[in-house]
Amino acid sequence: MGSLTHRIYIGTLVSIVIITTILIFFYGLPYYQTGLEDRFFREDHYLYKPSGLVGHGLGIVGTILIVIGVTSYMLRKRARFLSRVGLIKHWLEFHIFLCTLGPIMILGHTAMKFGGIVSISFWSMVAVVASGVIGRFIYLQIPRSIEGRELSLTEVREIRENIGQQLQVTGIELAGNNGNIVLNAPSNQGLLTNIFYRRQIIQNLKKQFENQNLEKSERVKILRLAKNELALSRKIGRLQTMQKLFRYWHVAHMPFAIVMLLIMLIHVAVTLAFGNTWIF
Amino acid sequence: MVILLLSSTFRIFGQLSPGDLSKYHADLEGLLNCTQCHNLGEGISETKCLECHNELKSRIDQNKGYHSSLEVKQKACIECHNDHHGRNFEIVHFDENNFNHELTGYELEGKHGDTKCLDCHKKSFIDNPVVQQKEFTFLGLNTDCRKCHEDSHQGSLSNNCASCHGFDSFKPAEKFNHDNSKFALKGKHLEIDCIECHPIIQKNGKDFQEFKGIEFTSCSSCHDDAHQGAFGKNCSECHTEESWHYFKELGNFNHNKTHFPLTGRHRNTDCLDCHKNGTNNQSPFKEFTTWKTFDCAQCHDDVHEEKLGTDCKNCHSTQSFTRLNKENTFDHSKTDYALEGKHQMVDCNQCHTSNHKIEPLEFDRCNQCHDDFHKGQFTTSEGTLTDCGKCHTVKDFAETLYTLEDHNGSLFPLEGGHVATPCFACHLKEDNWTFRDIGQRCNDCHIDEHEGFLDPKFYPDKECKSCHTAQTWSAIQFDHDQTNFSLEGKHLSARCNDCHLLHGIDNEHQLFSGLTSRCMDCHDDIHAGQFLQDGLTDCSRCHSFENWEASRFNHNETRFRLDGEHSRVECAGCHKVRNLDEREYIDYKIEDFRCAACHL
Repeated sequence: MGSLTHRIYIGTLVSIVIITTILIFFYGLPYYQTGLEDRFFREDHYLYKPSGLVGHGLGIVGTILIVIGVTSYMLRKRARFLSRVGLIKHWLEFHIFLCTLGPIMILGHTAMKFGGIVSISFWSMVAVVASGVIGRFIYLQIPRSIEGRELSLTEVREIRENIGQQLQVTGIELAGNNGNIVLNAPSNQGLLTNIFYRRQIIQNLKKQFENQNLEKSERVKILRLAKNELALSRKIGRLQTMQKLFRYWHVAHMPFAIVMLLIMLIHVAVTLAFGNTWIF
Repeated sequence: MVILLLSSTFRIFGQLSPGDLSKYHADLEGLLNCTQCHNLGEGISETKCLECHNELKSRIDQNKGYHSSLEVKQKACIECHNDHHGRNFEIVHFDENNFNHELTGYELEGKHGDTKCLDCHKKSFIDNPVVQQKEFTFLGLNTDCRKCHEDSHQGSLSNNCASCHGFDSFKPAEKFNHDNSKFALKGKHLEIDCIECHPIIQKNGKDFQEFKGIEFTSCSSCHDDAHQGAFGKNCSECHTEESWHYFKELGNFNHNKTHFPLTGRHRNTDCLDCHKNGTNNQSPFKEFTTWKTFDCAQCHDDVHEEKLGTDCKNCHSTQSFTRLNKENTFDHSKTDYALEGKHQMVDCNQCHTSNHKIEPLEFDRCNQCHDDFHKGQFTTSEGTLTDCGKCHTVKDFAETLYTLEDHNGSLFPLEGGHVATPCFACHLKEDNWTFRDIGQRCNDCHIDEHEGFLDPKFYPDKECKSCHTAQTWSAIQFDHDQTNFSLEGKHLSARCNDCHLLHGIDNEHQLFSGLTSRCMDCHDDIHAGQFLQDGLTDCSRCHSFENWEASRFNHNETRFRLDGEHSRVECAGCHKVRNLDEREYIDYKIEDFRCAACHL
């Protein structure tokens, strides 16, 4: 998938999520804002109540989306026959899409009523989504191969060295007057300090451009290389911490998902038992 | 988040309810109670609802009440009475203002429509003790009025209150019809207040109006006998319910057997109008028994103040005072205005227009009855109308007393032809008789025949009298010397028309202007233009006005002097008759004077 195609793909997914959210709340908000004891007397009660035409539909579709999102990603990661199908990065993006859209629809299904045993499922879902967001952050901190595999520390250092060499070819000195700041920068520095150094170096780089007659394309290439080098240096510094965190994260993300799905099954069973079958 | 999750989990663990039940169903909370209302796999069971709400079931089974109505019966219970919406959820959501009570089988009519629900739906009106014990219910009421309302008749009348009373008000009992009772109301009885016959008494310590057991077989049950028994007990023989003073065909009393049989209007007259003392003495209605004769004036006032005598029957009958029984023979001369002439033929009603012909009329002036035919022409400057009698009489309006002498005393005395002219020729204009301001000048009435044909200087201001007189049109008094052509000789005896009509534009209009004094304008030139000089023939060179003799002609002044034998020769001897354009003329213009020209 090309860069532009990928961007369009991501844009489409994000738009679907945003539009669905807006639609649910645009039409349903007056109902959701009505007190529980008064909702029955609203004319749109039969639509937006959890067992209503819209409410129940949102629940069913949302659940299906979540189940597909979880199952498909899980299979891609674990099933051998899928291990070479598509980039894991794209599967993750689709997983995030389905498991964001699904919970938003489930939120509409609850009609902002968070009671009963099914609330365990709901709050579990909230926990899974929240941990997903954190997980996504940690995920980005760990350098990966194009297929998405985690790179070892050695592999990362090789890449950085490669970048350093490319930079030297250009004749640009990243170090400035005080020697090789970036390469020697302590990896355990605070985030703010790190950002401060990065800025200083980039500005320094831009000053050097002024003294040399470089073409624009050349300048962009050098800047990208320098930024990659800096990012990689930062990630190398944190790599081990992040890898540790990511293992813990898996412990949290998965169980909540399992709880969510189990309670959801009970909820569906009870619903069916009491004769709520939506349109079927 | 973990705390939130755990707290939520502990709180509702084991609870599958989608929400709290309303306080009325609160005892059904709990996992084990779900199937008390829900059927597994089916949803809410109507049967289960009615298992608990058995009073309602019983009503539905009997096809009674609101829940049996067609509108409600086809709905599931939960369509109106849903639950799991919280403790305080209004499970009976009742719109008091828009509820159609008719669906309950008992329509709220009249005042019931304005009554608050709880004024009727209260425990004290509920008979069934089971229903009564309910915290709140709309069940248990009875449609029997007395269940809610106090029976003010204390059981003395029918149980069906609505057969007499309406729903709008208790009093009056609008549906009650007294005609359906044993005593139908008529006449004055319809007007009196109920309480007059149905008094309020005290019964069981409460006010009680008696409607039953009222005695009504005899009038005296309620009424006092004003005659104190003098006429028996059966009041209805004479009286009706219409009025105490109105007697029903005099009952059994035959007035015609008295000295005064009732005829005409007397039959409809209230007895007490004549029997003034009527019922106030011991022998009522008998005050006239000693009378032998009856004179109208004994009862009636004489509106004519005895001017017309005392025998009213001569003119009036008992049928009507105003309609005279012998109108044609009424002697009007007994009044102050004896009828004469045409007045004798006028219908009475034309003068006596009021319903009562007895009202006096004023008659000193004609216009008190008649319209002013002349529309004010004879009204004086003071505004009073000249007496019509100066010209007219009662014999005939068209016949006038106005004489020629009267006319000669007016601004326009009549003379000449005007004396013989009928009045209408001057005074009837466009169908209106006009006597004022019709003008005194000739041309106010006559047309100016000469307009355009006669120079106005001969009759200044169109004054006809310059030439004409009133005697006759044709007698002209005109001095022709005023013109440029004085009349002499034969002209003096010629008629005007001989010259002026000759030049008129038609046979009616004479032409008086634009004429010249040239002979040839009137006379033919019999000399065929032989004496023309400069285009004109001056006849007066030879002729005078006296005759046609050429008295002014002297042959010796011509180029051929007559002498010798020639002076004795007839003119025709020399002047021969010739023809010019088939017209004969005598040739006077001989040019050849040689002898041989005449003498051969």
